[in-house]
Amino acid sequence: MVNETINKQQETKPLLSGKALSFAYDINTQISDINVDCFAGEFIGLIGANGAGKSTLLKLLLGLLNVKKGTVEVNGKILKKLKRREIAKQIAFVPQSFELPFAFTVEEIVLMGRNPYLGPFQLASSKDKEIANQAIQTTDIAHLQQRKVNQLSGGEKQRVIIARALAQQCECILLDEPIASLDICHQFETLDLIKTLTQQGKLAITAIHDLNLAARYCSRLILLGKDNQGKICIVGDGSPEQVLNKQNLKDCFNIEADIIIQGQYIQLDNIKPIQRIN
Amino acid sequence: MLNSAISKQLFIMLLLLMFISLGLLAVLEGPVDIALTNVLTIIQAEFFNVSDSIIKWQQNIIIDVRLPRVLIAMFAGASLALCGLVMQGMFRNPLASPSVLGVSSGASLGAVIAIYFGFSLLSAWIIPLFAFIGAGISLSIVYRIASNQGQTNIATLLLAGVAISALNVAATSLLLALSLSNWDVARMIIYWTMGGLDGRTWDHVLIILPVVFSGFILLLFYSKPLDLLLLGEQHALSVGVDVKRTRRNLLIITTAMVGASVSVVGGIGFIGLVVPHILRLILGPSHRYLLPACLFGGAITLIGADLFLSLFFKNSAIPLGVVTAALGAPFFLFLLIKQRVVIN
Repeated sequence: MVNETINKQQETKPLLSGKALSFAYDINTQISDINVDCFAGEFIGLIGANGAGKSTLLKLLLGLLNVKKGTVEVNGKILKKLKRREIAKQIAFVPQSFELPFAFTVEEIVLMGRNPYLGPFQLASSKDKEIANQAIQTTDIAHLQQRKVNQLSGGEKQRVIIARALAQQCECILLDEPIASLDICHQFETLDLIKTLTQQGKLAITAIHDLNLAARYCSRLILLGKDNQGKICIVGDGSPEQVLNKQNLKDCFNIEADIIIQGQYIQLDNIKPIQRIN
Repeated sequence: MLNSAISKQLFIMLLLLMFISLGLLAVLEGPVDIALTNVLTIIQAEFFNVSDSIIKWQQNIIIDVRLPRVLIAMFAGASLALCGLVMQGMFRNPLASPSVLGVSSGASLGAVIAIYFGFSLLSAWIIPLFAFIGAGISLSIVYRIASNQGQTNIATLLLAGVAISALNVAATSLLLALSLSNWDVARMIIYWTMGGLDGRTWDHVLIILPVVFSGFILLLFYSKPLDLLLLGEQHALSVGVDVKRTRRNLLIITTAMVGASVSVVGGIGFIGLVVPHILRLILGPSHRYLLPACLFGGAITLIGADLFLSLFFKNSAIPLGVVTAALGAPFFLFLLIKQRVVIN
């Protein structure tokens, strides 16, 4: 697995990469000098404790937040120089929080994913509708198609937004805790879906809290933590086996756990918080 | 709510019909009776330069008094409703409107400054220009205070709007108080702040018509981005809307429209809040339908309010804003209660 990743890196150019990224919300949330290269076909889990900067890094990679220093490149092009429409053809995003208080139908929302391909007065063509329909089928929301989104449950809305991201037909898809509001069955289904997409050659980067699901589904984990100056940095980057070790769990999550091998993937068992000593 | 595209289009056609018939009715209605056929010949004569069988005094009343009044009511109402619609969509807040966000009072303050310092004597365009600047400064302060890192905090937005509004009103009152020693200026300010449609001329039409008309055309280009902004900034950005630029352009357009209408008719509240709401409840959130519907809906409301006053309160000087609020607020509350019942 490790060798495979390394080989791939030597062969191909990264699809999405951040070079020497720096950013600061305030004194407590500073990112300095983060380097990350992401390749087609990877399913990358972004893990870290609350406030470790997972969402921030995703937003930097997407250009939702402007980097202070460094550059983000997508397909070898500098993100800052691209128009939002061009970016939206390359990177789709599933945000963490969304309120949909307005009475759009599910179909209308999913069709909004076709926006980067349409002019200001151009209506969705039958081809656009077909692409949206496919996304609706893939995310298992066909029965909701004509419903109003403001009447849906949290999990249903989440799937609508994932469908919208799929309708964008991008090479990269970034997700900010996509399974946080889903029931257990749909958590698995959603991750299965993302995994299928990556097997078809897309790149998926998802912030995720559940370490066991991350270890089970992701091909690569990036662990964010704080360095000794309190700045956010990458603590671990590699396969789940490499990243989820006892030291990292202790340093970044303040937990103790048994690491067991279950079939093809590792799992954490017997998780206990470490008592903080003042 | 209407669901099919055809029923929505039909509804907009209905609004258009109401708009035309109310407009005609408003031209017919007045202290003296002028028959419909005469009105039509006079209008025809004016635009096509035929001058046979026209009664001169009727021509004066129609062309110089009633027509400007009706046109100004149409465009001011449309402008306020459109601006309310755009602000509600842009800030994702049902409470946003030109008056709540301090834009109307900013425009008033700008105009009063122009009158107080005597700039308004230089050209007819000075008052609208100052109104536009006042509206723009108010809105950009409110927007700056409420947005941080590309996120707009809704509660802060409204509170900042209320605060800036209060400041604008205070400054306007201060200027009025200071000007009382010079009665000519004070009279102009008082006359102007009362607003309304009385004594408006073709000059006023020429101020409001091009701004509102071109504003509406420009807004049509933003109907998709406005839909996407309803889902939030992050969503809009991720499907390719340049949120910052879109917001800035929309702010400039709406500010110009509010500035133009406030400088011509003064502050008329509630149209910007209620009309888009009512139409959204009927047509749903898609701006493709809401933009034309608000254009007609706002115009209908203001012409209707003016007609209502001239029909039932001929001799008392009730400000137009009182009617729009008195008719709009209860209807709005009724719709809110009705909607609550449906949801529960």
